[in-house]
Amino acid sequence: MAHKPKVLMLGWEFPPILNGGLGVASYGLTKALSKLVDITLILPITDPNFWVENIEMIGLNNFDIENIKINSTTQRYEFLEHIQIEKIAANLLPYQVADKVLFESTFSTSELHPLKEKLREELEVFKTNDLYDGALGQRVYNFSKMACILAFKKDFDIIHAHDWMTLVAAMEIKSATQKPMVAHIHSLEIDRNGVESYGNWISQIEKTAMEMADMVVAVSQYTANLIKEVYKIPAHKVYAVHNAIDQVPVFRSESSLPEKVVMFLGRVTGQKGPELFMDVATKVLEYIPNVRFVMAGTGNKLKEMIEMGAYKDLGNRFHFTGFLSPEKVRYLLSISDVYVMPSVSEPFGLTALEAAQFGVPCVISNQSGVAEVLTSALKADYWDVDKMSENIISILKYKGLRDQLVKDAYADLAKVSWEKSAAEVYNLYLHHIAEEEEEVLFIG
Amino acid sequence: MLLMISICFYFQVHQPYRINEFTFFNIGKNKSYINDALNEEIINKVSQSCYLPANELMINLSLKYPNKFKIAYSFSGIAIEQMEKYAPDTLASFKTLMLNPNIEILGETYYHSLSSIYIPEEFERQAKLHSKKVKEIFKQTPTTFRNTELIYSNNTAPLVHNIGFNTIITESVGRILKGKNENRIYNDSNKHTNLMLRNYNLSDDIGFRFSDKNSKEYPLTAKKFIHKLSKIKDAECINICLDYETFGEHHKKENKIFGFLENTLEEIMNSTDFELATPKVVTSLYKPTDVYDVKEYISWADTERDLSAWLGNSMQHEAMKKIYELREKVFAKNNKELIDLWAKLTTSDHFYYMSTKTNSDGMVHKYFSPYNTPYDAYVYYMNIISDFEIKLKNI
Repeated sequence: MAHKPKVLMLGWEFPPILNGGLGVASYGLTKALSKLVDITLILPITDPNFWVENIEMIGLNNFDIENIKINSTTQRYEFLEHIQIEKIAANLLPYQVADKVLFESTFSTSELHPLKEKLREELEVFKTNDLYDGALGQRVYNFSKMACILAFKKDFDIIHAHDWMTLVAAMEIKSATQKPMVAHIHSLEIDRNGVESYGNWISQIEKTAMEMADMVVAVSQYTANLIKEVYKIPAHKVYAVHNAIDQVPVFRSESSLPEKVVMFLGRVTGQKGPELFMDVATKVLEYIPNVRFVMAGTGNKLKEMIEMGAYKDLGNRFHFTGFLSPEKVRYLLSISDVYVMPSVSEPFGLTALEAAQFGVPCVISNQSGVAEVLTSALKADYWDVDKMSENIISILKYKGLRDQLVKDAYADLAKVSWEKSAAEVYNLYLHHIAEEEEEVLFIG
Repeated sequence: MLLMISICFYFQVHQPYRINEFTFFNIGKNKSYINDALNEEIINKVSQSCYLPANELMINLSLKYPNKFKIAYSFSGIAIEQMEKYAPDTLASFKTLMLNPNIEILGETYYHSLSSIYIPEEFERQAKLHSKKVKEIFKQTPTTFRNTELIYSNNTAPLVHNIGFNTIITESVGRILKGKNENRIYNDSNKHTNLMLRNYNLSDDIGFRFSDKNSKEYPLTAKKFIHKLSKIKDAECINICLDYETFGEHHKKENKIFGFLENTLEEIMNSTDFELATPKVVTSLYKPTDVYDVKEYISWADTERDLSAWLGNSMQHEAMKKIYELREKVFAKNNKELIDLWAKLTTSDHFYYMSTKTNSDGMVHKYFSPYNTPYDAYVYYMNIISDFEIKLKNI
């Protein structure tokens, strides 16, 4: 192909709105990719103060419907023809906390010709700071519609969509334009809500989209394997491209605590294994009393965890911080002695790379993608409280091990970069485009 | 008449006492340190794949060429012990082979340790213990010494000389030879001891590259190997030093490694240019004319051929320091079993498993290691040391 590939990128979380790894990874990858391809990035929300060079960013919260000319006679398609969901259940939660009714509605498959007035109304759902509140379903639906309309106005070679919230849009655009589609999977429904959630409507969106996609990019081999084994997506189109991390200035701080600090950082939800962290803390404290355990983050399990901590009488050795700003997170890392990520299923686990950057030895679960990158982290199966505890104790007890882990982690970090990951994605694009052109030639 | 070029084959037989996966929670609970089941399994596996078939081959050659068949072996004391315990048939087969008086057995440290670089008295103790064991089992007293993995520096020679050895085998290292011929006999820097240098190129042709399909010589045959020998200029003795496990274990019999070994040895014995010789023979034929001046430690391990295989990272340094620091306390207890247990923990392999090298050497470390990661190897070892310290207090 003569020109730089043009990519229509569909994102959900993006700075400054960050909820978890999705936004960080979408940003890191997109920024690095923008040096190799032309990108139009459609997001539910953009901040006028946050723009990335060389990327055309369109935020639906700031979007002016008057600029769009809807040509419904030549480019008609049946919206949402690929998703046969009549009623969407409540309480099937994607990334965020429970206790909120998500979306209850009936999709109509006959709705054509969206009118401007209606569209304007529909754009209202993007005027929010919480992408995951009760209107999530509506937001996903409206995002898909708007993205399709915008897609007709853009010239592009490839559709690249990040996670299920944008995959609906990607499918619609693909079926309307026949352009190749990349489904980029940062997290699966079965990671967030357990394998038993497989079959629910979100997982169905994921499956349908991945079946339809020309390429599926997973953030780890771990996730790629789940996609192949659980979602039964043909292996030949599933690729693993690891996440990376931008170098940030790191520092160590003088801790005011005489004890060693072992930290957990992440959403306090079942997926992240907070109960396991508490079990591990209980076990470690039996043997080494001069340690403090810190659980940083918030989520639907926080209340339960606080109660459990009190029940186990860990009060003075186990601390909850609630939500922490990035600055506070960095401070906590700078006084920590061990970082623990006991996730039940972690597609990647960017926070472990952040901890490694801060020179904090990591103990992570084998059920995580970052384990493939951080060869120097000590690992255990998430359910193996003994091994997890042992790993923590060993780091606290043996300086030789601690020093070596930190040193080896720097070597691991030196091997990953967003540039490298972007280059891998870029090669996948080229490879696919070349294949398509070959096919065309062959048929022609 | 011109002397024929001596080809000196020396085979290393060593098996460490691999330790248990000793977790923090095992400390102070009287769990045993040594993984008997695993050690028994490995020595029996290696007996079947290597020791027994290789010995049979050697015994046959020994009978066929009673005067010409001259090779050397070195056994770590703990390998002999394990054969006594777990593989008596294997030991019997070695004993049969050693009935040939032309086979020389070398001296080394009983526990295959790095004691020479830490505590001279301990080194002397382990070397003497080893000679005693060899004498007891094989009725020979070693006069040629090979330190653990050919570790050597100018400091090593007097230690070895003081306990009655007159020859040391060590590694030929380019940065020290600086173009000098490795296939000759050298003096140590004090000119008391003969030094024989391992020809690493030819040794690695067999040891590392025999099964490597990307190697230039693949498939290596006896003819090609003899041809390479004949290309060497001004050689007095060419020393091929290999792990005995090279034959049948590191390289499987399906790769025709035994055929290669047999043909090579036979071709040498039938040749008019070469003859098999042992270090004892070689040092009676040739005298050193130059010094091999080794200011920093060398060894046959890894690409660096220094101590980095055992002392390349902070875990290895800490673990090594810890075990030698305990010596005084251990000996103060005057308890034979305790001393033996401690000494088993000085074996170099424990530290080798802790290596974090990631290159092709790293792959070799991983191949030998019974543990998942170098961190595991370190943690189990350090937990054992912690347990051992408690034991010391309580005795």
